[in-house]
Amino acid sequence: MTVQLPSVLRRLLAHPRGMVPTLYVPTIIVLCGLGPWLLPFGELHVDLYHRFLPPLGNGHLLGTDEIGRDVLSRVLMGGRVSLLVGLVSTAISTLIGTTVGIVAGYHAGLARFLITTVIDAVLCFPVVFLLLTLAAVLHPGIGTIIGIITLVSWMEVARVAQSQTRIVRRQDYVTAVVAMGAGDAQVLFREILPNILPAIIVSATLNIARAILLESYVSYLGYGIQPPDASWGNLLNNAQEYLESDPWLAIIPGAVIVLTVVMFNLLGDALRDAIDPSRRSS
Amino acid sequence: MTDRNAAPLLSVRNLTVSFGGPDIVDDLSFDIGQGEIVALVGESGSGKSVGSLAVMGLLENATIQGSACLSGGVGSGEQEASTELIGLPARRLRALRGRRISMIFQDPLSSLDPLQTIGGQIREVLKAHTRLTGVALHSRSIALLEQVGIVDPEGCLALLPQRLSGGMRQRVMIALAIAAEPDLLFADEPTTALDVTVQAQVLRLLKGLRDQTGMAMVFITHNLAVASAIADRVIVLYAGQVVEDAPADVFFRRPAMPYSRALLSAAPRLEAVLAGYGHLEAPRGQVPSPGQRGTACRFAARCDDVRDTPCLASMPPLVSIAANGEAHHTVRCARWEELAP
Amino acid sequence: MGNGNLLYVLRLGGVKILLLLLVSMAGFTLLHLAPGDPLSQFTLAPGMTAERLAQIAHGMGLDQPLWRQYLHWLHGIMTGDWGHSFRDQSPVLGIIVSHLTATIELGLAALGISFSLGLGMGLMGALRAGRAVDDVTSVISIILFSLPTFWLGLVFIYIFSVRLQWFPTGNFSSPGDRSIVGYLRHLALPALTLGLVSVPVWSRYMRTFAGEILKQDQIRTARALGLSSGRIIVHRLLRGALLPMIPVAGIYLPTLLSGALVTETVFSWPGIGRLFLDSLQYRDYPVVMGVLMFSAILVLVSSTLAELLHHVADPRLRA
Repeated sequence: MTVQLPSVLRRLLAHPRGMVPTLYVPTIIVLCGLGPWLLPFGELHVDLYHRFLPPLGNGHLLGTDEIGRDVLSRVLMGGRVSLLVGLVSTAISTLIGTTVGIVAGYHAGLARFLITTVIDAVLCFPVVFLLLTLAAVLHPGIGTIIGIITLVSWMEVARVAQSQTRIVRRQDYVTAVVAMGAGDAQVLFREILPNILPAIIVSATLNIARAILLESYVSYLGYGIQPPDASWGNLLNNAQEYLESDPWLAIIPGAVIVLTVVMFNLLGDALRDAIDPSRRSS
Repeated sequence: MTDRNAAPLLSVRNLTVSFGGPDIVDDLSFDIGQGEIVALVGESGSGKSVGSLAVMGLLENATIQGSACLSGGVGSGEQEASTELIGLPARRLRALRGRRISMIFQDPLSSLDPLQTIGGQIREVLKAHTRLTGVALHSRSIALLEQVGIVDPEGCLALLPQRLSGGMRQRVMIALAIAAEPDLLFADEPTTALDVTVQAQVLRLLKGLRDQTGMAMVFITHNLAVASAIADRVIVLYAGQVVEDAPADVFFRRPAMPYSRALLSAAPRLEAVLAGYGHLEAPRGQVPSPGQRGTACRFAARCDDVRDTPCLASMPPLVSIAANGEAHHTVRCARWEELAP
Repeated sequence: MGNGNLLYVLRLGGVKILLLLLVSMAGFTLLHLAPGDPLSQFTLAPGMTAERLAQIAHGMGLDQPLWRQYLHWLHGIMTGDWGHSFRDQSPVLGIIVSHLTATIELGLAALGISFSLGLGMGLMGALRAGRAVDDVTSVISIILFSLPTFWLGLVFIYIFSVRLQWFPTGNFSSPGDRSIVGYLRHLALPALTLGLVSVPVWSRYMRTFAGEILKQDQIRTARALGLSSGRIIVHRLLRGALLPMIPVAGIYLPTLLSGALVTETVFSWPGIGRLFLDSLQYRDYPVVMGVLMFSAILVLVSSTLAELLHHVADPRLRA
């Protein structure tokens, strides 16, 4: 399956379910990236005279928190961390997963046997328990979070890469290339990799959504990103205390998480349909 | 075999089917006599399957106009009045399906329930249409499988469809379709997916069943050789319309419509088909799609004998060309007289 | 999933047991290298001396090499002695079992909600494939899939407890109220939270499996043979789509347990999820390890059972 980028983009934008996330994802990345230069208030600017301002109060678009910090600034700064964790851990786990998956998919044999059974087995474990134990024991920080999220999420990509490689490997033209004496490296990089890339990209997009969600769990429970640094998860850390009086402190950061994760998931689905239009009709 | 003077079993008049766009089947009219085997022949896109599914009431999201009248049968002892199938409430239509009209399809494997034994599936159909229970149900199941030529019916009852060969599966499918002794069976390309030798066996089986039970049959195929092996009458469809309707012996001897002639000259003979040269080669060009049919003769673009007038002037009507004393024969060609051999 | 080979299921079960051992080793090592000495709870006790501390350490087996401690612990796990809590010295297995009821109750209620909603949504989407209903159910499914469980819990508490005051904000029961209605009112919000976030597990698979069956000719054939639509939906569609859902139940349990952990925290529900987090906080490592092993064993057993059950229930695999 060869994929033309312009036609994929056209199909992606043809349907609102593809267009909305395609526009949203770059926007939120840029907004969070430029966060500090966009805002009148520093994220750590404490203003004890203006605590618990509701949204739109005194120039604070999304209000202020329990020590008077601007919630919008906190959300954008939290987004930097959450998106960074999502993107970097996905990049690493995609690299690992793709490598492992190709190795397992390319040659039948002991490696495939071991890798596939181990992946299937690992996927059966309740990963959040493992994740939290690791997070609680290790020194907290962005690097740690990225590491442990990578550790529990490379299997999904590996599974996709493995099955795709097996499919491509069986195609007649690949058999022909092998028959003409091409080396393993040539087959892998010239034939296999370009052909499984679309599926990998889809899987990676969905993985970003999952990673952002996982980070929010760990940080919400207090084992992830530590205050005063913000992340979308730890903004909700003590929001439950103020739920009665100041619900927006819980609702706003959570809504941003939901929106972003929904968009990455929608983008993944839309990409899958755009890359392979025959799926759409099913 | 066919008594033209008796009321036809099924009378389709001006049947028009669309799926929200242009008409797929366009003003289709034909009759099926009691006990008659009619081959509905055409290339893909001619509307032969859609028309049949419309009569069966198996189309979803379709706009169906026209009439399909099933004459009263003596199904379960008492005389029934004739029934208009188009627009019949779903409940009444369902009561007719399987019992008066039934249908089999091309791929018997995907037509059967993969999770139920053959016996279970036969009992399911029998229970839906008869009051048989217990031993009677069992012996009727056995009898049905024997009727379709299954050698070990007792053993077959306990098997799942995946365990049977393609030909056996289609036999089982036929057993299911005739379980409630319908008067009319639609068979949609029932031999296309089968091995060549098995094809011939299934054709013989179907013809034998008709001789035995008097069940009429609409045999849908794109394969003229298969049609010649089984049909009493051939109806050729082209771009959603009937273009020729003739007794089989007349049709294969001297077809009147240029399209029929083109099909016949392109068609391999039965022996060739059975030897594996499967599918009929269509005349040059393609069937116009439903949106591009125009108001002229629809075959004009592919016809060797086309003239500006009359062919392109207007849509030729379906006219009767049966000579005195001859059986029913109609054709849709403005130049049929000039072109007659 | 879908690998119908019985041998594969058994092999996978074997690998899972090996993996369980590996995870237990890693967890055990990690927790012993972790900051927060289990002895730290005693050091501040009045009148504590170094000798006394060493005595306690010896009593707890902390002076032995790590691999011996691990073997000792593993032997204990197999013989039902899961160690003792650092916090109150009560046996770990007993603590876990006493917290299990709450989690099972919550889990069953959530399972009921998510299974019925997921089944309905998946079926509706499949039956109306490509139409508005299909789009709506799949978007709902994506949204539910994207919800952080804790946030949904917070929103529910805000709407139904704080504003509408229909349900209590948390806990197992109110003091002095032992009635079944009171219990159900406490169960409602956590069960709804956990149930909703796990709807997509069922709805997505149901949509796929039912969609595959509807694409087969067998549905059209069954109609052509005059079977009633009720019979076709129940006997062909539901039966055919539910069979491959059996192994999905094996995937569902880890999702449910992970979700329960967060839900129980938000709603102060005294189940094993909350027990796990509390123990993590107090560095009560025997209990942490206990819950980790317990949930892993639970998932292992249930997923293998689900796969075996699939083999018994599906006539295609039995043959």
